Amino acid sequence: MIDLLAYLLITIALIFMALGVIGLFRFKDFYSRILISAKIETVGFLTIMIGFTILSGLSYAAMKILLITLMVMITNPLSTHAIARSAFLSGYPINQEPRR
Amino acid sequence: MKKIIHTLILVLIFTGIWLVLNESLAVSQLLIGLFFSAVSILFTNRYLLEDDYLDAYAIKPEVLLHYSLYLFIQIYQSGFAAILKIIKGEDSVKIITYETCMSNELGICLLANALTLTPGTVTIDKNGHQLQILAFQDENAFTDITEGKTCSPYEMILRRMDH
Amino acid sequence: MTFLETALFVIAIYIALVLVRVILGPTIWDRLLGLNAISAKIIMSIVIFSIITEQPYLLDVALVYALLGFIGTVLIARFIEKKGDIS
Repeated sequence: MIDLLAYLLITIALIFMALGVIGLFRFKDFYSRILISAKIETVGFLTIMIGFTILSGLSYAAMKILLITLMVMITNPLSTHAIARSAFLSGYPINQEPRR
Repeated sequence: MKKIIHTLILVLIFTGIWLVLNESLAVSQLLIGLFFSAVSILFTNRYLLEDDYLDAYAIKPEVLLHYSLYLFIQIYQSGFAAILKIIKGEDSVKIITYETCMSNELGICLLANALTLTPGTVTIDKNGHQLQILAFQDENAFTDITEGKTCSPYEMILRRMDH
Repeated sequence: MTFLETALFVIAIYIALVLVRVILGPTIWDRLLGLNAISAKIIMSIVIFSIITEQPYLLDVALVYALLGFIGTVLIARFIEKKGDIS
């Protein structure tokens, strides 16, 4: 029963990540790509890791997976921020007017 | 006295992480963990930080818990909003200059991290109390706040963190 | 093929698709974005593999991979900052 819940969470996470990959190809501008695709990753990662924690039950492995999740949740926004800041400070142009 | 209690709490947390990494609950492992936690905290305090560990990372545990719960809900909300954006395919962005109403450096840092963690906004630069935020053209949560001069919900929670 | 093996296969397909973006990517920052996404997916694959084969020490590898991927991305991003056109 509890395994079914974990499988459901993993499936939801896989759908989220599929949308992130689609967004990586659908948007034409670098800034909109970094806004959507890298961030959908966060949601997918959190969901799939909760699924794995439920799947491995109450053990040291589950706590280790939680530790990995916590660390990635702290470091992932930092690396996204570093990429966006690097592009912005190097003068990559921001398209201000809406395109049709 | 208060300082000793806080250091003890940190030592206990670090020992817990050590035990999880070693996958054992033996007494020898516990003693080694306590020793290394105390040594690492003292070393960081003495050589790596300019001011004290407890001053630089002063945040109440209950505020941190409330903040992470709020952030968890917020991540999923904006995740579903981002799906709509992908299906519609809007791709025009803008930069918002946002003035925080917090004075604490750690608070501003946590706010910037939370903004980057939720889908749809990325913090680009921090200059004193001003944050530059990259967002979509129709994002209006922060422009409304800039005109109205009130705090965002993140800051309302974070302002209670001072001891 | 069990459910977890299917999930591992799907993640492998995602990694291949992101790799196409890394090869196509017009600027160097697109490639960095792809590197970041690929490293997150590799961490997931290591965790799935450790659950399938029941070897919990593989999780340490995932932990180290998370740290090294973060350091690599930040280092490259800081290195190319303000130097622009080496795409």
